[in-house]
Amino acid sequence: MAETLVCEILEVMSDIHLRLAQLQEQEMESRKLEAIYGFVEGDYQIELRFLAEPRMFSRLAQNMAGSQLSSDEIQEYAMEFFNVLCGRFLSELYKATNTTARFYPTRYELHPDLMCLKDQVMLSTLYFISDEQELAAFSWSAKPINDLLRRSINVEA
Amino acid sequence: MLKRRIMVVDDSRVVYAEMRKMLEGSEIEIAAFCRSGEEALEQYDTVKPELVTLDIVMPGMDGLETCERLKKSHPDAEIFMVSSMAYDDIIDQAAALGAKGFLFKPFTKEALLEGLRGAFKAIEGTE
Repeated sequence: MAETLVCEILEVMSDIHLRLAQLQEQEMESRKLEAIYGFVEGDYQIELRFLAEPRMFSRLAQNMAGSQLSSDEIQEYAMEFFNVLCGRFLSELYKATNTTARFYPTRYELHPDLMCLKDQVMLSTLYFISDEQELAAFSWSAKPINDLLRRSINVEA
Repeated sequence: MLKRRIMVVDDSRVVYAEMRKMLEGSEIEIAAFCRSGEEALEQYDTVKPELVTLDIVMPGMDGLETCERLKKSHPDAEIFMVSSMAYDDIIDQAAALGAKGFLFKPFTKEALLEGLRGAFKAIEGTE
């Protein structure tokens, strides 16, 4: 579900095409990446993060705007993409589990700490590669979501 | 051509810029842009738009509360919700408050125009 959402939303908003990729952590760490973070509170609490190479954020924003933008403007456009992605992510969770929560975008980081990527217990991460070979990744707190989905499957059973 | 005037309420300038670009050359124009529900309530009397597009998730007063307050102070205000949050209860609440339509983000130019034109048609049908 998350894979389709990321690809569809990015394509509709900026005409950038992504495909799921099997990447090694080292490949992500070897690239310069920027990150957007957000958190969710309500029936459950999770954190969300979207990582991408600066060139991809820049293309995303400029394709959306149809013109050249300043770095601050690029960040604003990237944040709007992230807001929409997370809103749709929560809506899909609502459909699957009948739980509601509110999303709060927090920050855009030019030099994110990628250490948490190593903690696979804490985060579920999908890696992507763009039509211009840029890397991107979407992550969320794994345990609360897995618990929610498990609970909803048990209720249905 | 006399244009239909809307007020866009969204905490993101990006949404305003996108809508403005998508509405270029159409019969609809953005008469005002407000970055919060509070600002929309202040501006409404001055702008007197035919339709207000409201984002749901905004810092401070959210879109549903803004809709409720606007309808209370200006019962003739017409509302169109725009959001990426697609919870059934949010959509139901918006409809119960009298919203004339709901558009999901991300939207295309065609979807925006179709949504707004549908809302104007619904308004004319109730006049």
